[in-house]
Amino acid sequence: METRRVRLVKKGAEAELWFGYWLGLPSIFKVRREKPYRPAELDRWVRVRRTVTEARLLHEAYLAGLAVPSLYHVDLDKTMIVMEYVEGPTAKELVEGGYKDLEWLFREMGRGIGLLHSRRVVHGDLTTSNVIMRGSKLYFIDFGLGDKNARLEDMGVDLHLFLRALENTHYDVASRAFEWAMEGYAEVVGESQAKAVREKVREIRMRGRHVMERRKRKPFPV
Amino acid sequence: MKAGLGIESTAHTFGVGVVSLDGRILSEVRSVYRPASGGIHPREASRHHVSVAVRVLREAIKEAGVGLSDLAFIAVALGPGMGPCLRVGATVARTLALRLNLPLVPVNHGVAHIEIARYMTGTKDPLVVFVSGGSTMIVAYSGGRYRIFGETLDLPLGNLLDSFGEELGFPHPGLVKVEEMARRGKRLVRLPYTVKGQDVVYSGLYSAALRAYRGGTALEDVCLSIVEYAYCMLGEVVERALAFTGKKELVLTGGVARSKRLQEIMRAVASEHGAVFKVVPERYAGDNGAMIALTGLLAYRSGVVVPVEKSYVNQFWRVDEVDVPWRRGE
Repeated sequence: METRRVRLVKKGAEAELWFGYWLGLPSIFKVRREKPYRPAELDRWVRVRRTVTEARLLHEAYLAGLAVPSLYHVDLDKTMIVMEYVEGPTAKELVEGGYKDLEWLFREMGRGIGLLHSRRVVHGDLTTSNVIMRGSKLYFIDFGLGDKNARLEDMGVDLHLFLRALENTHYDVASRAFEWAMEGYAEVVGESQAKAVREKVREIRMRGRHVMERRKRKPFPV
Repeated sequence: MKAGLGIESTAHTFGVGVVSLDGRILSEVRSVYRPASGGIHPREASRHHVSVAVRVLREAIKEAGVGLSDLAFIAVALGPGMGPCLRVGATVARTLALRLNLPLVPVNHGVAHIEIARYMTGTKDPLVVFVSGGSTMIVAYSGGRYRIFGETLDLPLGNLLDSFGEELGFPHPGLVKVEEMARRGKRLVRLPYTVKGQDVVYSGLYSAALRAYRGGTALEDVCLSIVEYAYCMLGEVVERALAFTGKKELVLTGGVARSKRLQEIMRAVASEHGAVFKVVPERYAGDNGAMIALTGLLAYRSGVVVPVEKSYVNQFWRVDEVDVPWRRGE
């Protein structure tokens, strides 16, 4: 790579993202660095697994018809992935910046999730930070926590996490946003499948700690 | 009037604390229920609370050096927690409020763990990791409430290690002995390491660790593995939350905050992201009445009170359902 034009784009929780050139193409070098707090053996195992998962799922997502960065190179020694540089605002930045057509944005996200789930792939970390808009297309990134051969339960968890992320980050629009996303989702997977997954989401939410709806009973007096 | 009183009884601890209206802790007295074997039975714990309530209350008031006529409010943890236990504290609080004609201030137990940690560590706007027998969550203030940026999808961390210890025959809380054994462990065994988005999943870890133990793996190694896996998974989601929220202070609170190994991991996580790490002092890590009194004071100053006839206990009162008007305007 041409090191003179390399720069750190983002230091995320799990990985560093570097911008540079791969065979002349503007690229992102995603490096999962050692975590000093994890025992070395466990740390290495987690990083390798995440890197492999991410590379595989980028390809799966592409086959599902989703817009994702093209995968250029995988280096397991360095636990590094080189992929296409997708430039644009994240969905989080769009929402926070007062983007006009939120309905379109979330519907489109829902359609994307639907495409993935139709191929029995779950993303594992659906947040508005992991969606980038380039032109009129939404690109999904960060597949390291995903999985293949997903069951209904996994899809439910995937959407549950998405809803939770909306609730802590975009709390003023969270429920509307989720509804739009679910409409887009249903367009792709079909009404009956969407309904089944939704029921799962409800079930998973109730399994959580200290969730009121878990009991039919209201808080009882005395 | 110069003081406020808080009552905690959500689980194993019956505690009373008194704070001055200018925000100093005047007393903190508690009695902790210890089961002879196994975990906490809600009914047995509530009987313990009933039997110690008057004594603890008397001692707390005496130690604070105030009279009943000095009190301005009665605060009580109305949830979340075990129903029978919650009702003991609520009954005592209602009685005091009616008898002394004082406002009753409802306090969320989780919010109280957050507020005591903020107060004791002198932090302003931290990301808070609240870990105890009943809770595992990562919270930060945003838009009028404490929002949850990560939690367990099933077992709380304390519960995971306590239950595991109890399965091995260790006394409650099992976590202490599990950690002690872990320090003698030499080899990690492969267990499920499950992070889902911002959350952790612990139940698979629990079952796999038990299987490993029953399959003949050295006890010390199983303990080392379950502890390292559990803490590292939490470390990872805390890191995500730090990166995501951009908070520059990290605070560890709740009963499991006493764990030295967990503190070590959190300190490393904080330094990775240029955040300051603080941990709640040991005395205020576990459940106590002072944190209820202190949070009660914040709420009372913001006009949060509940009529006695509506002061229901709420076993499932999530932290992110509570308005925190005392931080409004930040």
